[in-house]
Amino acid sequence: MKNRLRVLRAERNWSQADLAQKLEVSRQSVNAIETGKFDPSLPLAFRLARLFETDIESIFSDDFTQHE
Amino acid sequence: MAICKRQLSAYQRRSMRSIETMMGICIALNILLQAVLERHHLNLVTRWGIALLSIAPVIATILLVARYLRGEKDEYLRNLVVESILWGLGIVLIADTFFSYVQPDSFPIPIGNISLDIFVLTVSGRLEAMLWRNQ
Repeated sequence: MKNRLRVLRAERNWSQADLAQKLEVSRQSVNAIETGKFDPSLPLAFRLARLFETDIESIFSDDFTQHE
Repeated sequence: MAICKRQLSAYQRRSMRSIETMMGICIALNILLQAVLERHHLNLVTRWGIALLSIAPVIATILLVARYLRGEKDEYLRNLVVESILWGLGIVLIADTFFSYVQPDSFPIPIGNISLDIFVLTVSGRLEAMLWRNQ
């Protein structure tokens, strides 16, 4: 699964640590999600969407979505 | 856990400290009890007592890990801990199966005596490596 987390974070000038603090997770978690090593659960994806004031589909996309 | 400790929350640090302490007790007690068993001829009841004593810290460690996993809000770290435990169990099972066939000739210590040590080293090593890789 691909995501735009790094872009969205950069637009707001947030560091990984800033985002981790806002999400109440470790910085490693943010890094793992950004690099695609870890797919977040639905509750965490919703928290991310709320934080960036957008919907989940604008942050995450899978191969199926991209081919559509 | 020196690498990752700086970035852990108070709950995570406290949990890791208590789990590490209990794992240390497991290993120390294992070594001590093995030494006692090697030096003394004990009756069956005493051996049963020693066996029960040896599993007490293992059960305590399992309970501590379960409590930590229940309270861990960071799903990525929870995932890493579970993955590391599975690696530990896997390595112990592989080593145990392999050396049960070749042990009498090539290995000086019965593998069952050090399986706990192998498990602890594998779990902590794997967890540390995964966190370091994802710095």
